[in-house]
Amino acid sequence: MSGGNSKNKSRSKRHEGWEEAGGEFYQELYPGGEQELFDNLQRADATKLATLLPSKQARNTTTAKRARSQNERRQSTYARTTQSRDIHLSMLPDLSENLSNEERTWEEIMQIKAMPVPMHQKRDLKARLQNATKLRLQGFEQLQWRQRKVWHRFRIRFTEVVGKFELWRSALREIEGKFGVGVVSYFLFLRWLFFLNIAISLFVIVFLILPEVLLVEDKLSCNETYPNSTVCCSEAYFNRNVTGNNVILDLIQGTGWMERTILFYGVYSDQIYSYFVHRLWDTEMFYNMPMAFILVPISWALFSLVAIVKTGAKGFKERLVESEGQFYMYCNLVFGGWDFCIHNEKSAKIKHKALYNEIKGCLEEERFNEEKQLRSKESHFFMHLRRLLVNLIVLIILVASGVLIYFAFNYSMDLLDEQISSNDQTVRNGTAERLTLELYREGYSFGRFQNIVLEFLPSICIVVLNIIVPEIFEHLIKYENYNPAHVVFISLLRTVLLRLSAFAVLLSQIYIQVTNPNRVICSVFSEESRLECWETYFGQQLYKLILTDFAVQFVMTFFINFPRSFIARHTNSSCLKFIGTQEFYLPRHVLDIVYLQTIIWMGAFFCPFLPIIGMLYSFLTFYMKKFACLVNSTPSPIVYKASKSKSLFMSVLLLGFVISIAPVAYSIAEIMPSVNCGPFRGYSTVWEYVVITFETFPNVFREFIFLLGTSTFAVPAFAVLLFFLYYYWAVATANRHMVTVLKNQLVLEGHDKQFLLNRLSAFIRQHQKRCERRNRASFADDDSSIQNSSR
Amino acid sequence: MGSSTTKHLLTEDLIEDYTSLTYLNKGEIYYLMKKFHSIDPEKVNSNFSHRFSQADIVKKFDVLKTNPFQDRIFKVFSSQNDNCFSFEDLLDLCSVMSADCPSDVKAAWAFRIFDIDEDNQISAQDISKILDRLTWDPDNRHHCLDHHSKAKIAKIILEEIKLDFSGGIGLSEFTFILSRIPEFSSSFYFRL
Repeated sequence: MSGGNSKNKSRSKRHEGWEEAGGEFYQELYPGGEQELFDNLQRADATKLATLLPSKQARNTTTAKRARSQNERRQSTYARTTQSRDIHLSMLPDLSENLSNEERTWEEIMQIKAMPVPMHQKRDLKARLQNATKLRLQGFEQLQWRQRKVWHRFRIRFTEVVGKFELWRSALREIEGKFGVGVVSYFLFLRWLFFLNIAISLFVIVFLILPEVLLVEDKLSCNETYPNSTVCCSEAYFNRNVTGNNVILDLIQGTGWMERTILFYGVYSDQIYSYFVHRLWDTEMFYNMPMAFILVPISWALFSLVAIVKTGAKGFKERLVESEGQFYMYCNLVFGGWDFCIHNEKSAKIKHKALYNEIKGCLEEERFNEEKQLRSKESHFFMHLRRLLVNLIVLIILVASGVLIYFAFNYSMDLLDEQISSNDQTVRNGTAERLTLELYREGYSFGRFQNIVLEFLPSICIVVLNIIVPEIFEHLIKYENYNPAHVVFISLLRTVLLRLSAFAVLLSQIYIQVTNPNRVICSVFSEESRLECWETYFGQQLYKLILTDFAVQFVMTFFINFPRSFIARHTNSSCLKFIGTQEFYLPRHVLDIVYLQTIIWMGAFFCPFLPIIGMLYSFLTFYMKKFACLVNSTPSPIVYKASKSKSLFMSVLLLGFVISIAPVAYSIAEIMPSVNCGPFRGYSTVWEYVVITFETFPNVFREFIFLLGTSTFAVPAFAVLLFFLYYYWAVATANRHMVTVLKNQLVLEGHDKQFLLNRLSAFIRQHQKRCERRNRASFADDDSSIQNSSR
Repeated sequence: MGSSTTKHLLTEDLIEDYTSLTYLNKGEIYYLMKKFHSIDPEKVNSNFSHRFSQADIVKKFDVLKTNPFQDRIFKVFSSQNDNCFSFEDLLDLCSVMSADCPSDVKAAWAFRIFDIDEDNQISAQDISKILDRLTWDPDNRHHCLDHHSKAKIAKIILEEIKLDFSGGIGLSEFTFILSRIPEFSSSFYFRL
């Protein structure tokens, strides 16, 4: 009983607290106090009553609320001036209620900037807060507060310094001013990739390249009794004379002397380096090169994955919030449509036009959807037929380009093989006179040129297809009547498919050659063969691909597209204008850089320098794309949304990541590494090395890892994960339910409010009428009294 | 020379105040001061809180020149309601437009900019006026949404948000909508 009483009491106390606070709240809102409020009500006509509601009031309400919500954790002293939800605050002794301590005051000052009031008011407020009497913090609290303050100041200083060194700041601003936020998000993505490549390069430099360069390898000599041992094979491989090509040719092909540099897989040692660090320890230290060679790719792959997922998740969250629907579409356009950063008059004009088109498009799409139901069966059928036809054509083009690459690859390989065998013959004819060979090569300059073309043929083929085919797709998609959002997505998908099919053909060709049972694995006695060290060979292919890609991008940007845009700018003929005008079509440019990244991921295991090349490449790409964007292109009449495109970039990149890592993982797990080169000589797979190293670990650790693999661990872990999954799912459903409930409640409250407002306005009207009547009556009285007195 | 005079104008205390009361950092404030000072050095030197007219400010700040809400921005951010900017007003503007400013603070100011008829709510009329400003094209007068479609868009937006059945969108409702529109905070900003 008594318990119930006390509860009641506390509740009543709470009520008082509420009301008190509420009273203060309204006083704060309407500075004139209740009187003014009442006057307002009386003056207001019934229809405008709604505008007097607190939720419709502009400034003070929200600032108070904001401050409160931010401070709620710390039981803000804003309670002094504004409404407080913290009940026990009103029950505390008044000492702390009226006096705040330094830390809180400081926090409040930090939050003034969030108030939407002019500067002089903010400064007044700050001064008032600073001059107010406050409690001094004592002892430890004081120390803590000081620390916080110092940390805060340091952070500001730090971000300022970092901001000064922000890469490409002015370039981004320029692009932003001309093209708006959507295109800038592309450049930010490019910058992000650049940083990712720097990180990957750091991994590679610190753990692979530096040890390889600094640590000294033990020389092992070939034992004549086992001519097929790994030592002999690699000796034969490294001692073989490097074909004496032109330096520049070697540089761009990655052959000749380049093949024997730390650029490629081949030269990395299979030894566990031992070294002494004298002053520190006199014990011997080890660096396990093969282990590093396998662990570094795993770590950068994981790093990239985490980076992609983390960045992508942010965009994904935003996508989730933004439920698809007309309302959000229009809100986006109306309230977020204009990019406030545009500072170029011409672009502003185009932006106006783009927005107009977008809104028109939205309205039309709606009409389109309405018509869809009404559309006759016949036209429906024709549309589907057309789409089917276009898809068929797309498929044919994809297959055709795959076949083309296949033939180009085979053709060039066949010819190159022939050449090598003919070289072998000449060598065999005169083993003593190697000079003849040299002469033969010198005289064969045309042949050499041919060689290069043949070497590059597959890469050139892929790159050229990548440029031409998307243009065809772009034209084809116009006949399919998709809505604009789908157009971007579908054309992106098709182009991705194209690039992948090209890749797949190249990979499968190399795979067939590598796994060919007739391949010369260890050529101690025979002459060189191209696939002697197939990892290096694969690395060379990707190296060539990346160089070709760069060259083509460069030529396209500066020697083809730039003159085109130049013509377009300085001509009046509409035909030339049509040829010359280019838009900055985002999906294609996105693919360009995702493609680059895919090559880097795929090749970085076989060619450890590839991330470093990629880093330089992406640095230069930024300038190239900037040029393409600012000089060559005119702003696109398509509105690119920043948030949407960000998540699109990340999903495409994730796709590229999976596709590039899968073949590498396969090769590590399944394909036999070369016997004569690289860190994994003599093992049947790369992974075998890891397993063997693992066997040497202490028993306890091994047992532990094995335990992770057994069902005793897996089943409970799986169960626990399922449990968590279920838990979060349940929480999510509950939250969703809560949202609907609250929404319904809000609607009900709205009804109530409407009802009360109506009542109030009716009352006011009645009141006004009564007043008038009374006035009239009193006038009448006055009149009569005056008349009386005058009589 | 120029920077030293502006440094002289901005005392340490003032800078301290400004950095703690805005989302800008020191460098940005100095930069703004330099730009502001260069409009007319003498007037600023003689009176720190000199108010420059809209035209003067726009000449220096390209970002405002092409903005379809230019007049609204000047109306909202001018502390004396005279469409003129003192340095502090300019700071207010740039603080809100900076990337560090949280989205709900931006929304509070944006609300006042979008509330074109200044009745403390964004009504159907406001929305159609915003649409007009967005699609306005001096070269092509026909490039304007017709009355019917504007009304339709306004109706769609208002219907969805009118949870409490009152005429237009109030400030808190507006903040609520904008928190769910990721596009907003990325478009409502400019780099200095």
